[in-house]
Amino acid sequence: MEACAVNSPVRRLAFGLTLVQMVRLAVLGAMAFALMFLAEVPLPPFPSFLKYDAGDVPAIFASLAMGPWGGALVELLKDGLYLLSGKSEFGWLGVLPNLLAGLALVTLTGLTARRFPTRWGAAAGMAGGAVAMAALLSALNYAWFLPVFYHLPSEAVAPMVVGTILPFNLVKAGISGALVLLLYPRLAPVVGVPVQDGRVLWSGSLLGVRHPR
Amino acid sequence: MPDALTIGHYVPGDSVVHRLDSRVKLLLTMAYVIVLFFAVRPGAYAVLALLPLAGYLLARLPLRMVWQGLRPVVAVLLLTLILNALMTPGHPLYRIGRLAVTAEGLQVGVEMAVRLILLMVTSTLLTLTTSPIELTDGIESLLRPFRRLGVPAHELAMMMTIALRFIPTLLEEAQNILKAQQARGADFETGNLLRRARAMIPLLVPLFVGAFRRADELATAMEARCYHGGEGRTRYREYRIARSDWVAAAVTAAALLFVLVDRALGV
Repeated sequence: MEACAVNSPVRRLAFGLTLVQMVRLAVLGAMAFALMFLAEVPLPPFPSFLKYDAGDVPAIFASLAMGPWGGALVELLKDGLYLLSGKSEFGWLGVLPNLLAGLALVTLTGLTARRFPTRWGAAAGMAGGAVAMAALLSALNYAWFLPVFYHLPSEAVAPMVVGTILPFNLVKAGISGALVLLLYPRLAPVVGVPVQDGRVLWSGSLLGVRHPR
Repeated sequence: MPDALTIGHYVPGDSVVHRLDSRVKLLLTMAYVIVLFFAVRPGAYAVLALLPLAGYLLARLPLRMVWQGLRPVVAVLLLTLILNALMTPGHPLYRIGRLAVTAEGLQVGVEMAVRLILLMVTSTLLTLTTSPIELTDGIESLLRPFRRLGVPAHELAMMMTIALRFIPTLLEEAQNILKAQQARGADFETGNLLRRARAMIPLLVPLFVGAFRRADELATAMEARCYHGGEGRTRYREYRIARSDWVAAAVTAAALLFVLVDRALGV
């Protein structure tokens, strides 16, 4: 059998990713889905249909580790799996807002962290991403989801959006961000986060490099 | 948790609906969801309700599954109905203090509830009768024409398939880690929000590490077997459009067309 020279470890397949990166992202996607599917926690002050899940954590992690598009792919996989699982009651219409919000969060985080690869750069990126996500979801709910989907009149929608959807999503993204801040440095030695002058770099291509353990 | 280990609620079977091509089912469901929002008159809703009903009967799915799928959204449906009935201006039927249930409101509320129910029931029918792996293949096939625009259909489907395959493994691993940490005295259930978030760390760190290890092993295995993308790949599962697919598409198209024509003529 002839040997295949096509698979040198640096060969880029799609999205400028190597095979190792793609497989790692796929597994992160599975993890994001599992966290979203299984570990939903109600947050006491909010109504029970708004639940926290840590599904964004692997996605933010991916966007820090291998750039915004890696994070976007994890979000896409997570929501794609959610769609396939049939747990989304309204099919793709129900998944779409979640996907858009997740994309806003991870791409902003990834872009900011790439520019400022420090702990505070990442934190600022996540804060910005959280605001973008909450704003986007509020806008979607106000302009499309609640009025068109449920046909609720706008005077009933406005207090609902400002009172619950906006703060809930800020809190949700905030918890995920805090988890990432706690997790990322701890995983540095095991997954090969780039280190400069003995300090963890908060943006890199760690998923592409295989480090001996 | 046997329930969580099988992702989704696919009910294996060998009915006509199960055997329909997943691409056809995906496209028909998407078209249905869009047309649903154009329905206006009761006749149109009746036609739209017949489609999923026929699907459930032909798939030999017990109709109690419809109810099971609806149960989680009953509260939302009722809320929609009540809010609409109370907040739509029109002829009052019944007064409660300053609020009034109007005839128009009741009509709009019922219409919305019916719409949501049909939306749910149809989306559920797709995932009940099509396995996730077939759906992934279907999505890959439907995305293939967009390759020219730079959509890497094969790679996306490959990642999705890997992710699907890893879900049970990861869930089992998470379960093991959870028990192992609890055996060491980890406490996941008490304390305030920050404390509980911190408690997740001894769970998430080993989970990430294990996941990366498995991913690297899989990538090595794929490279060793000359994985080189979708080009020239031969498939284990081959899909062909059969006569039943044409029939399903024709029936659905006729029904959806009826709804659109009804709207065009009706208003």
